[in-house]
Amino acid sequence: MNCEMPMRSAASVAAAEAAHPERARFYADLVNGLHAMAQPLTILRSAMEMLTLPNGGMIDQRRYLEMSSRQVARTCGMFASLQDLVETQLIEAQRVRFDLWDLLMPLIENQRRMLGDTRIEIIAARPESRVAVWGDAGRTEQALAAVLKLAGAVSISGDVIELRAVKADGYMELTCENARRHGKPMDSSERLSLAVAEANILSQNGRYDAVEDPFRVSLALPVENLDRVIGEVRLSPMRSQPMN
Amino acid sequence: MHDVICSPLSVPAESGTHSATLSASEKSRRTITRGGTAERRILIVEDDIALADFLSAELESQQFAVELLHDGEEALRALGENQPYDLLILDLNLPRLDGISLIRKMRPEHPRLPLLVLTARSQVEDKVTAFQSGADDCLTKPFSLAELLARIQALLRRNSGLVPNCSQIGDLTLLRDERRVERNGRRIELTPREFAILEVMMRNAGHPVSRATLLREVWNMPAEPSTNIVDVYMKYVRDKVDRPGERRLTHTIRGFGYELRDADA
Repeated sequence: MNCEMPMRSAASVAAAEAAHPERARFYADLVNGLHAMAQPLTILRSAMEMLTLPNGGMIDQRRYLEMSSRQVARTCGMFASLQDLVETQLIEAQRVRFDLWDLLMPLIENQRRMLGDTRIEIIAARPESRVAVWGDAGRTEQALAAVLKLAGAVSISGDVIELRAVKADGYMELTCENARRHGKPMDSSERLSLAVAEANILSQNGRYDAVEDPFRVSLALPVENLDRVIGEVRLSPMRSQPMN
Repeated sequence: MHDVICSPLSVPAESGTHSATLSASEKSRRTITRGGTAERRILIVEDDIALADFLSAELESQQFAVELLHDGEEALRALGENQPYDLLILDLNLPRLDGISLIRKMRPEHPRLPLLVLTARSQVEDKVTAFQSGADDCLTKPFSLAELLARIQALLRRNSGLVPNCSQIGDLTLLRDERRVERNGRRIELTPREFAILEVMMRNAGHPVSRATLLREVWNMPAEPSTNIVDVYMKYVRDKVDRPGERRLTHTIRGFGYELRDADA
């Protein structure tokens, strides 16, 4: 009987996770991303199967072709997200000073346009002082865009998405939330986008917290250059240790 | 054999058996008809909307009646409403209540419902956990629709052939799908856990059933010598099944467990 094997395996995994939580989280996100791709691939595989049936003339070919096209696009999007996820660990984030709110406003406007007449409102409470942070503006923009897009995707008509920035403990924290519980469920590709957003923020000495239902994402970036504050100490263990 | 054929679907009302005490609506509720064709009813719980919609459309085209839910809590609620499903297709990675937790919660109340688990995780441990929790079959994504259909047919065939809806010992009758127990025309109200215990006992009628078996099958727990939970629940069942003046059907097998036996048979 080898029924103890899974338990030993689970124990060793737990020990490894405790020793390197950031690395464990990254690997978990990668594995979850790969698993997420199984959803469109299942549809794709089955659609192909239907298209190649011997009596294929009897089925609605166009329907299965359109279905295949959508799932190929979805899978490609997931591959791109996985690529982004890997690059957050492979390429070092920039450390520059930028205004978080200046970055956010065009994204909000863009998202408002995307929501169109869905009656989903975005309210952004601009802080009185500047919202200057240290980090990678490109990665932050990518994370903010993903969070805003997801906030819209899980919302339904009549919902209000709120954004607010608060400075505390040396960080500028931006929270995006829709207080309505049980909105639309998030799908696997949306969860993968959220994982990439998280990795983008964490890779620049940021903090990140997310709740799926009701939807709330808080991301925080340092208001000082932490690299200068802590000298040679590296905050990201992923870069200082081999990936094997 | 203590399992007898007395399913409301297979026995006409005028047969003179105990099933004649069931109402006409109860006799027919497992049969959903569309255009005169009996349909099997499948509940799909899958959080990926695109995949769920695809599966639903394909199964409906195969003449199944499909109900679609996207999270574990919703599914548990639907199952709690005693909807007469013929099969449950369950994704393991669900929001609000994950698939394994859902199986553990629903299994005592639906011991016979065929359960096909879908998982995107290929690790053996995940499948083992699913089977240990009560799954009847497991399919790893990405799977092919043809394989899914074959497995559905196999599960439905297995379920309809081997475990009958109705078990009977002496004047005690248990109808699994209707979750109904009667003794000599007297309706016995049981909690889900008590029903699960009696269902296991009925399946093994005439044979001793160990406490460990009951712990495993009803609570999904390994043998635990220090717990008396089985004895406590067995007393509840016994008090309801064997009323004063009635012939005793539940018997204690000292140091082992219990047996359901009709002494006069």
